[in-house]
Amino acid sequence: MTIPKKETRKGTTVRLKIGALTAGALSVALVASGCSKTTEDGGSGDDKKAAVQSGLISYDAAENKGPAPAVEGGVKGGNVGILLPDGFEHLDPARAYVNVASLTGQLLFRSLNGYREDGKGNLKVVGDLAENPGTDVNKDCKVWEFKIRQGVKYEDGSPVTAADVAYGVARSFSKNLSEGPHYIQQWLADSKEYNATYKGPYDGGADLPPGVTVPDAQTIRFTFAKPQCDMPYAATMSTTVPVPKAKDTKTEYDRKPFSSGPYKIKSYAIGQSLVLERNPNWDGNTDPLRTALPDTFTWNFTLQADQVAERLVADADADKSSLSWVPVPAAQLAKTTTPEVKARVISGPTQYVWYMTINNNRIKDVNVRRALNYALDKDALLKAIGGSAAGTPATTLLSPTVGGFEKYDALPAPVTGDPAKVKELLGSTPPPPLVLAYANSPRRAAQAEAARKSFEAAGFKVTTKAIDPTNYYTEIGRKDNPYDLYLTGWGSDWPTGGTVIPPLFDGREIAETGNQNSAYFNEPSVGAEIDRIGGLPSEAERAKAWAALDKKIMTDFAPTIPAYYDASYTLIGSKVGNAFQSDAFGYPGLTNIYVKQ
Amino acid sequence: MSNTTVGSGPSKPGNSETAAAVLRVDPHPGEPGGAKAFVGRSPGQLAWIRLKRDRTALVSAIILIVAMVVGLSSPLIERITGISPTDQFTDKLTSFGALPVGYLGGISAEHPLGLEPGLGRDILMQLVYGLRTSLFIAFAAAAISTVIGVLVGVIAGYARGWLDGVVNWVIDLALAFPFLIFALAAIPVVENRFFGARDEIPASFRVGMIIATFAIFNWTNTARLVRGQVISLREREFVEAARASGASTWHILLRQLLPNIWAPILVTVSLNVPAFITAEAALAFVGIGVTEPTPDLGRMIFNSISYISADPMYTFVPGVTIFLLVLAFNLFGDSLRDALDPKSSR
Amino acid sequence: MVRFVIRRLLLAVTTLFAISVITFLLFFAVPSSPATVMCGKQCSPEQIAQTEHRLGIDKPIVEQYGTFVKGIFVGRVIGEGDFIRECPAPCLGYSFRTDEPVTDILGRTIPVTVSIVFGAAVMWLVIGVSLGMTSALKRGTVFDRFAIGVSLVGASLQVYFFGLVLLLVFVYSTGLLPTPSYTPFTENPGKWALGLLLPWITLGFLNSALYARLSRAQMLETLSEDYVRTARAKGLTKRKVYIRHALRAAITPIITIAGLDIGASLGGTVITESIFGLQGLGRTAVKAVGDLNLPIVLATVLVAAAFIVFANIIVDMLYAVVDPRVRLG
Repeated sequence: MTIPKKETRKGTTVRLKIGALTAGALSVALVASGCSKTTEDGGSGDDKKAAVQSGLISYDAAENKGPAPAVEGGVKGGNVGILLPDGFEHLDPARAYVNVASLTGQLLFRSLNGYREDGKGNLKVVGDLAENPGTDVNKDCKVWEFKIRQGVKYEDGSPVTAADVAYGVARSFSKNLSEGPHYIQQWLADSKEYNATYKGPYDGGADLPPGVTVPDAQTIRFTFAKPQCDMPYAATMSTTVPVPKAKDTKTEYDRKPFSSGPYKIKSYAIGQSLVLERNPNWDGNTDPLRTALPDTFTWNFTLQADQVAERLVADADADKSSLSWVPVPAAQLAKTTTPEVKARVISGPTQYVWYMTINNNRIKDVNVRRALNYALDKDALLKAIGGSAAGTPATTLLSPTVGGFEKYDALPAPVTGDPAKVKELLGSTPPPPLVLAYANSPRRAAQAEAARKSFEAAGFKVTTKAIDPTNYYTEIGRKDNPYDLYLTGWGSDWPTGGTVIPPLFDGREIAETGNQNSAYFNEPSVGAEIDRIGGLPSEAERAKAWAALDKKIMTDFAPTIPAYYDASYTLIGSKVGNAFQSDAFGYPGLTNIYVKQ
Repeated sequence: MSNTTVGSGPSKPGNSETAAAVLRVDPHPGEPGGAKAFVGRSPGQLAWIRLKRDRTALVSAIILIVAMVVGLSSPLIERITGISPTDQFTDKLTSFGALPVGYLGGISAEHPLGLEPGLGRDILMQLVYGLRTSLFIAFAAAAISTVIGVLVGVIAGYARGWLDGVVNWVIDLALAFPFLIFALAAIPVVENRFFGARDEIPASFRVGMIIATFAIFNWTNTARLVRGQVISLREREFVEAARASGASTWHILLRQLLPNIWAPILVTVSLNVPAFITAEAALAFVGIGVTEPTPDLGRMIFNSISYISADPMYTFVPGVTIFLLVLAFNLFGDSLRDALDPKSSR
Repeated sequence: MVRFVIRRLLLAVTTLFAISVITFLLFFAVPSSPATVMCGKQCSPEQIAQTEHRLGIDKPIVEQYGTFVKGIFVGRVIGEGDFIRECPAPCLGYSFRTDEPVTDILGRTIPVTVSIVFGAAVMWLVIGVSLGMTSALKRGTVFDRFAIGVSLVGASLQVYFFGLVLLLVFVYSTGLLPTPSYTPFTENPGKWALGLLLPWITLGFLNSALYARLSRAQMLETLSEDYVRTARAKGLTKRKVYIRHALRAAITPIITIAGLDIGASLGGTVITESIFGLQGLGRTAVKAVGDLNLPIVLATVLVAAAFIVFANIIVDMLYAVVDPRVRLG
């Protein structure tokens, strides 16, 4: 049986035509939507508020007394929405470490100390639960005493006592609740292995960790073996949040922690939403930090970063009182440059600094390290992840959010690098072949590629090596790792140089594995200086000394390449009042926010 | 995983109709040639003649050949334009947002398809090299999985009994296991075994791993199809006759059965290739595709998702390319099926 | 029939066992440990060892597998000392990262994936079958060629491209549709459907080609059968003939292939979920692999495999029930 040939041909070529039509239609859609011209002048992501940090521990009576200063124009009522893709892993104060959990914790809990921020760059540590940031009993930074305020109540009306704070510290020793910070635990145990002997109040353990005493219901004392002058900062962390023993639900505490702050949990659907409502037993007169103006807070975990950006740019009625805790993705940045949207941008440096770390175990020649500093194109490195909204090129080891920050440039070069200077520094030494390791995610892969290109343009031969992101810091943390360069980020736990320089640049801490000093920088003179600074009597002196040490390390040794200061760039809705980026946590804080009516 | 693997095609495997059509000797030898001298033609030759006459097949074949030529000659194109796919033109990106300056994603005489946001690489060169990677992976994976599938299918179909049962079970296993999860977990493990910490893993190794993963999971469709065909053929008289005259099993498999099932196999291969192109792009979505800096269409699409409203060109170029490639393959496969068995879809 | 079902079920169980073993082996072949993923800034070897002990992954692999299997059938106890938790059968463990019971996580994510796939299946069946059947009835006309052409284009598009284009056109540029999201059906059926409309249309259009073809071919074949001609000759209206006889005959292979397709789709919707921002089974699985979150990986892999395997069984059974010529076994 033969086929009618005409039909065959016509029938199948129609398909061809439809295919061509579709391609054409798609192209038209493309042209229609993409037809505007992209120009250079868009917005700026940096320096909206490049206020340098003054981070101080304040014992001023007025600053330590509740109620918190009134917010200009602030009104009570309304609901603030927070758009947060992915949600929280842990709300339990012993297990929370990430900034979004800490920011939420500021509404749910009160810790011994807290940060007082005014949005103008003034960050102070004051007493939150405690009447002041802590008394250095013997003036040797070894014994710290805190007096709990009277009248602070939990969500059920019962009073907060010092024993509860002690219990909160105690349970954080447990290996089952180990995801939070470990500073206080390590200081109490005088060892990095903080739970080698005392393992928490479970399985027959004592309710009080060694070194913690509760002389009376309102007083708690910490006794450390070594001087820890940064205790007022450490006491701002959630380790010091009070947890009544009777309310300790262990692994369930993550889902329904017991509130000591102005709000309590109304509902928490993992992956969906979290709703906080007022804690009627919170007394504003006992609280120097919070004005608690909105009636409720609602977190939405269901959106993705680009959807969050689209919604906040659009500012529909439902989103007018919302803000976000995720940076606007690079692709949506162009939409935020109109004056109306630009006014609703919250941006600024976070506590993170990114370094193109050099492995000093492998690159021992300081001139080669200096040459690498001149070779790196920091502009391209930033553009790979979105340009100026993602950060600003760095020249110092410390972040601008750290107290006492001083800007300097030990190796001045244009942001795109200086290949001529590279050749001059290397002289006759042949440039060594380099291996650049990176965590295998799309952003870091793009940055690795940008870095590779700039090093090659300067004459180095670079191969890139992808490392599984789950393994990245472990691999880098091995003393004998075989890589020469790797991009690492470090955020100070509190805004002093003491949480940046010692962990990253004290060579005496170097071990076989688990190293945070991934530059493997080991200079005895620097180690001695670190010790000396730790012993300085006043915080202001220490701040100044850290800044000076920062400059000295880079000028004399150039152990690493400061790449860029991380910046955050988020949007708020038009009805959100008094939102500003927290210097401590990198996103807008909620303690003094309000909804414009 | 219907997003990424091939369905079994419109004719159910083992369809007696297909087998019969293939086996049917053209009842009017020489007719397609018109009223010329009676020339005996094999089914293959007849199919070829029908194919040649099909305009759609011609056009889609041309598209495919052009794509292959472009892909293969990518180094030549690089020589001509003077731009390498890894060159970064970051000076042509805005400093805020790192978007390409100009219209439609930075289209200009120098960059006819624009630039990538972020890294500022030339999209045309990325496309040309990416085509090479995608086509190579698709063809190699199709070839390997077909060979495995045919072997297994023939053996299972002919052997019956427990061997057939085991093969069926393995096929079920391969179909049930989530392919993307396996790729995500297994590929890095294997790469770590073979390469030292400082060694750069060459792109060809990752490409090889991807092809191997595809082959492991996709031979099952061909195997099922072939098994079905063999089952319906093995009871035929000519097979019985061969067995009766003492032919060895190998002879039967190779010389009797195989030549009669090549037609649906060929069609399956031609429809498998576009599925592999799509699947290779899908791998980029979960982060296990071809690694930087080797250009790859899938990774380009994945990176471009969030730019869909800011720089649509970035998404459209690889998207339309893959669409046209897949469409061309599908059309060609259709025409091939029509040529081999004119009765099947009418 | 019963013997067939029992045998297939047993085979299915062995398949699932094999898959769980392979997953276990893959997990332990990976050089990094979930403890390192979780430790952040404080990764001393002792801390890692402690975390591994807490997660129970410092025990021998065989023992871990045994506990896992025991948990599924009779339940087990997780943790030790004051942190002991009872995990009743079927116990799938707790997430390594958040301590959330895996069954809760499945309870959140499976409805999303199922909603996506079933809605899309309805769409592709409706679009495909109606296109195919109408084409068969109007064979040779412009409609016929156009319909097949359109469905072929659909088959050549990919989810990631077509879905993105639809998003651009309907959500971002014009705002005609809301951003895709999942609202539980029990909460608000209208919002549920509206939020999933775009993924349904995308997947529906893409997958309809196969069914358009199939139904068209089947319809044509049936239409040329003698009994249909007889029915027409007897004076039955076109509609009655086509719907009662032709449609019914044509539907059976379509349903069986659709069943397999649905099963396979349930097993893998990662890309659809990524494009449309829906937290379904696929995305959860991929994230869990990235986190080395073994309990979630195991659970999602097994659920996906179970969907496919049982869809296969059901389809084979349906096929036998519907077509008595097919003998099972």
